[in-house]
Amino acid sequence: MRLTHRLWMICVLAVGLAVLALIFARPVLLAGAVMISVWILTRQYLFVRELSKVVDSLSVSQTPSLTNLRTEDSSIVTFRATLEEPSPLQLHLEAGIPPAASITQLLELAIGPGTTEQTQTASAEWAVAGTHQFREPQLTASDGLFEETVSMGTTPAVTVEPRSPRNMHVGVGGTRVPLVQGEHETGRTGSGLEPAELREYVPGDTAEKIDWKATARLATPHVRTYETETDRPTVLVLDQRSHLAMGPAGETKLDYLREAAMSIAASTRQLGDPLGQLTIGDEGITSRIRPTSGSGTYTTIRRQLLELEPTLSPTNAQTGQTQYGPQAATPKESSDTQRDVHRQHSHSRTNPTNALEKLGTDNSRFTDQLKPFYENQTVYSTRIRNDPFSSAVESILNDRWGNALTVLCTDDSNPTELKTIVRLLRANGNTVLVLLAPTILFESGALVDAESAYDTYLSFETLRRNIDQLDGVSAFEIGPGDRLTSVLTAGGADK
Amino acid sequence: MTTVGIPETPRLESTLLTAETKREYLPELLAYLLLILAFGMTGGVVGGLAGLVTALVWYKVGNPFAFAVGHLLLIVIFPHGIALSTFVLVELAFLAVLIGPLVRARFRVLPILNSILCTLLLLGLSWFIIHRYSLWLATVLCTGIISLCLYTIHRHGLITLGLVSVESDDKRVETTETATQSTHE
Repeated sequence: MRLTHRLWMICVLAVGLAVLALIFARPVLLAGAVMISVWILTRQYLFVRELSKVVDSLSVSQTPSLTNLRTEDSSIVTFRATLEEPSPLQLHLEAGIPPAASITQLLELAIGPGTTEQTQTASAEWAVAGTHQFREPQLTASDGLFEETVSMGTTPAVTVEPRSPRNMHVGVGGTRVPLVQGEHETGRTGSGLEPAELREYVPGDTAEKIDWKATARLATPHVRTYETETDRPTVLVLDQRSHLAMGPAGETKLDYLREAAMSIAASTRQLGDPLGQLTIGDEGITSRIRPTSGSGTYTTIRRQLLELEPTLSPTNAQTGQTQYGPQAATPKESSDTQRDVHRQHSHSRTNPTNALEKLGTDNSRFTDQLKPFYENQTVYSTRIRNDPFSSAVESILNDRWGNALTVLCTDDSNPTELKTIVRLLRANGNTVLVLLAPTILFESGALVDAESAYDTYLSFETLRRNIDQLDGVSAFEIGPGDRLTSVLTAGGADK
Repeated sequence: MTTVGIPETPRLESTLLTAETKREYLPELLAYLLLILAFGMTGGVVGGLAGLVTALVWYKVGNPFAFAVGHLLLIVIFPHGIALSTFVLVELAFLAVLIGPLVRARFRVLPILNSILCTLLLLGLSWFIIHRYSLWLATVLCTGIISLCLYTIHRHGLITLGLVSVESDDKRVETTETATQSTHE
């Protein structure tokens, strides 16, 4: 309980009278001090009684219009106070808005004598994800002499979820399929820890392979073989070019592909396989991590995936817009990377144009056999030089890991380029997993014309199937499940 | 310290006792009439005038200042000391002034009884101690008793409003006891 400055003045007056009584030795003044003190005591008692009654009869509520929302969403918060009967106290109420919410105006209520109800609303924007509990509203009551602050009222909680892909669909033709893989078997025997079989000794087996206990038990020499343990390197190839920014904030093509890539990375870590990463922007490679199985690599890749943002297209960059996203390569880094790619390319692969020149016009059978192969390669080579994405992908072909799984995360905006890249990756003997984000599921207003949307989806599905039919290639669609259902439902209704 | 939403009126009084109409001031007017009569009866014309001044002070700035001015004027009226009967008569009039506004309170019975009891007790105790011991002791004792009463009501308010829990205080006592025991060990 606090005293107002007016009451402090009265206290000083009472003390002053008591002091004067002592100074002038006049007991009458002490009587005056006693009278004032009793006056204060009575007011204090009345204030406590009245405030107790108010607290019992006052109901305070702070009600957000939405309790489950996403970051940057707004909700209306209604702050209401109701008294059963008017009180002569001056009541001031302040809402307990969580610090994570920014409100347009302070939520405060003033209930004066004669008033029984007050309501105020304000719009609150929620910028921080998490569960945010309202604090108890603060009631400050005063009678002009005393003041007291009491916490009372409802404390609702608001759950704010970050803007990220929801209802993620990974599948084929609208059917969901599991994305992460289990353990991969080699189907070969050799050195390892898992016993494969016990077989009779045959000439050629070395003496150390003989299982002497089995030989003693079975009377003839026996050899124990083990399942060969291998690692399958996994390389995540992520397209982060500008067109991957399509979609609502937090639910872009890149956001969905990132989620899938992170789940694959987690699965790879669980299996203990080496993991690498290649991210490609509009200007070329923005980051590259060669496959290793150290825990630091997984952490680095995970962090880079989380920080991945679409780069700006070169045309936008030329108009003065800066390239955004932590992984966007600086011109120096980009040129260094491209130089590195070029050096690797020139050292390890035969240039098809040079090879053709060397073959010349010789009409030998050898030349006739090789010429079509190098001519085909020249077409690829020309196309690759003109396309930073293709040349970036080609750079990883020089790294030969054997039985590697390449996970290509991109969209369907350039089908020809996509097919070329998949063929390139497959040509190196890699198993390829293609995760495609259909543009139709991310375009704003694309679902207005349901029939057209369905036709576009069918075109995408044809592309996906064409890629999926390639040997050693699996292609999956990835995107918001609710929008895909809408497209498929519309297609089903039309038929 | 600012007061929430309370208009600064010249007459000092709790909003719980503020009269909405002039008619509601009747108990106080009667009490001050009684005070003027008491002053007049004991102090003559000068006394009557002093009573009138006291009433005017109440009208302008409120009861506490009226109490202060009224008691100061008693020294002026009775410069060589005041007789007990005169003192009792005047203080009874002041008591009426003290009770006057309480008639308007929502919870009036207990405050009125408390006011009468406290005033009589404190004044009686003061008179007794002054005559048996000294004014100093009486002043110190009165200050102590009043401070204790103020603190008691303050604590009562905190507990009633749930601003302190009795349990936490008990635990604090237990902790202190445990700490004392461990120190002795």
